[in-house]
Amino acid sequence: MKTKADLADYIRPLVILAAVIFPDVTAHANPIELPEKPITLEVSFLVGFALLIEILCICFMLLRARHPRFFFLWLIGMHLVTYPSFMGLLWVLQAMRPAFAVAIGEGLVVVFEGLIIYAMCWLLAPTASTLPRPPLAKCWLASLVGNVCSAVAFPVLLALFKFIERSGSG
Amino acid sequence: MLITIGIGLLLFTHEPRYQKRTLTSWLQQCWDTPLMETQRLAEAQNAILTIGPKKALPKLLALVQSEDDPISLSIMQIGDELRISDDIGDRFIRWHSAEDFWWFGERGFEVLGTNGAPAAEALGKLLNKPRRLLVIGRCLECIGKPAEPVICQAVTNQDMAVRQWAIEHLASVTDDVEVYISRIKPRLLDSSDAVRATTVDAIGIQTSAPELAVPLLIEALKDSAVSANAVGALANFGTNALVAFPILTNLVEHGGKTVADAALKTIIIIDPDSALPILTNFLAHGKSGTTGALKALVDVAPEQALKIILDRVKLPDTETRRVAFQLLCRYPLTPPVESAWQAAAADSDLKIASRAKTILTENHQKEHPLESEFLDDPSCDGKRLGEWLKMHERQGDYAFSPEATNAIHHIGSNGIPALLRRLVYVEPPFGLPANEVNMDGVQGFLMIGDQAASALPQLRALLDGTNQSLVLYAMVSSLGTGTNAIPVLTKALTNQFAEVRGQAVSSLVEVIASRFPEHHKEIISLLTNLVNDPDSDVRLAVKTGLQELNLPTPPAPK
Repeated sequence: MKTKADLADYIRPLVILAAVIFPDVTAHANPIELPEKPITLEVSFLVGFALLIEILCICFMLLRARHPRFFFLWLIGMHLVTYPSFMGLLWVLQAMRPAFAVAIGEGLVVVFEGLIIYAMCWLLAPTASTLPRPPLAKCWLASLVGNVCSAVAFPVLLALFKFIERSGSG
Repeated sequence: MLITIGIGLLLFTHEPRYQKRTLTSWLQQCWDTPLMETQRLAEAQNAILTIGPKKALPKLLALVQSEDDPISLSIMQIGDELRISDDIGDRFIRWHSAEDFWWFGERGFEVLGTNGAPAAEALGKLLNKPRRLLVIGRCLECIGKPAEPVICQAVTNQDMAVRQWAIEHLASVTDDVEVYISRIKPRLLDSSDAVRATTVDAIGIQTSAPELAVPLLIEALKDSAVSANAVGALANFGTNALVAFPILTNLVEHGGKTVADAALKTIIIIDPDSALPILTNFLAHGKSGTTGALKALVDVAPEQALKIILDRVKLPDTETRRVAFQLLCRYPLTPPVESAWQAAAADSDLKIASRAKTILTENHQKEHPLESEFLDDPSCDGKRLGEWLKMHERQGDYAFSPEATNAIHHIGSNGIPALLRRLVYVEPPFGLPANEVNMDGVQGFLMIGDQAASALPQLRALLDGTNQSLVLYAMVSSLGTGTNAIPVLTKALTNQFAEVRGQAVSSLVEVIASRFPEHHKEIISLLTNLVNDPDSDVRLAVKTGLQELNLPTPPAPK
């Protein structure tokens, strides 16, 4: 016995053919979209707070050293370069185990951020300041502490965001 | 930190390369490429072969030894959650789990084949690692003969699954069947039931050495955990297992149900003449579990089986008749078989009757080709209408070739009687649906377009039929006439079949309304009458139709 579905299968192509005979009949596609939870807020929260923690650490470490005015903003600006570079490096190293790739990437970021901070403190800091200029080792240490703190804070922030999200929705 | 960076970069840059790409990258290409993309696959395989076993094997071993670490797993999880990375390559970064690396390694061993031999021993040591058997097993299988000692050792591995794997795969690397059987024979005493069963099954397929295998299988009959496997395996040896006949007969009488059923089947295969009385006796007493034996008898002694089957198709029990007719399908339509099918066409069981009608219809088609039913078709360019109607795609858009289109147009209204005959055609002798022929008729009508207008009264009359398919075909056939089809579609809107009403709604909207906007009002009024249709699908079609015609949907009935 033929079922409803079978009949529909037979008839549909014929109706399509009938429609094709009249060339100005258009097909109305109706694809199904699976809604995905938006994550813009989550990403902004995580990256923003991780960055904030790192910058606060660096500022705190170099509080008693000569540094440029608006040091905070200079550090944010620095991340506009180092963060995309870090992501690019991860892309290059994606064939490695993730822990290795992230360790290498973070290591290089620490080295370069240390160098950039050193350059900022030596080239952009006001000459009138009485504070001593920071040595390269101290810049690297500040960068290391900042990056370690933000890396450690990342999963904590993620858990915190989920907790806030759950509390908000529940 | 600098040391970590240094080591990491050193490892990364030290990987063997070909054409500036790392071995892992080639292995990934090998893993990702579908088999039909032969060129891309061959390119990757060629790269791996060019790198060579000496450079590649350490890396391949490192890959199959990869372990997941908690940091990597959490990085992958965070990357996945933030939609930065995944493990299939749809996002910015594609991280690989340890398991991905195992399979990259396996691809390498597959390409290198026996050249991977130096790694066999190291691979053998990985067999015990959790979740690793499948991939390491594949690697060793790819290495082939050189992996023989490793697989031999694995036969006595502490892990049951490894022993089972080794028993099965040792056969492919052992040249001599005698050596193979002697290697796996001790496993018949294994502590695991599963391993013993695997061993019995493995011995059971060594049909080239019945003198070695049959005694072992007879011995295995005493082991209740594997006796069913042994009984089944003995069937593979045919008359070479005659020596087991008395034991099997005993199992038929006194064994558990599974073993007894399998034993009955096996004795039929081993010695049909001697086993037939036993089977007949079983059938006479209506014992269960005879289907397998009867099927086996059809294979080894079809003539003897036919007599039994022809008797059983007359029995009152429906299930027995179903099985008998199922077996009867294997026989050609000789007069006694055909008369059994003729009787079955009127069977009280619908499944049997339907099957009989199908078989007899197919036979009728062979004797009376379809063309003979439409000999008076009009012709064009030396071909009959029926031949032109066959010149379209059976899948996809059902498009006709330009020649066929011209020819059918040229035949035009002269073809209407032939098309109407096709539209209502049913398969003789039982009147089964002939959808392909009906659809040829529908397509013919659609192709002649306006010229089909003179057939509209007949098509309209067909809407009163009781066969839903034919009603639908008649309705769709009218669509080629454009607005002339509106009366037919209007009648279809009140048809008894919901499917027809729904299709009429769609046709009015998608075919007529979009082509003839001046009829929008009329169509809207027709559709509005159906908003309270009892069928939900029709109501949905009306709603969609009215929306397409840019009208607010009338309120639903209370």
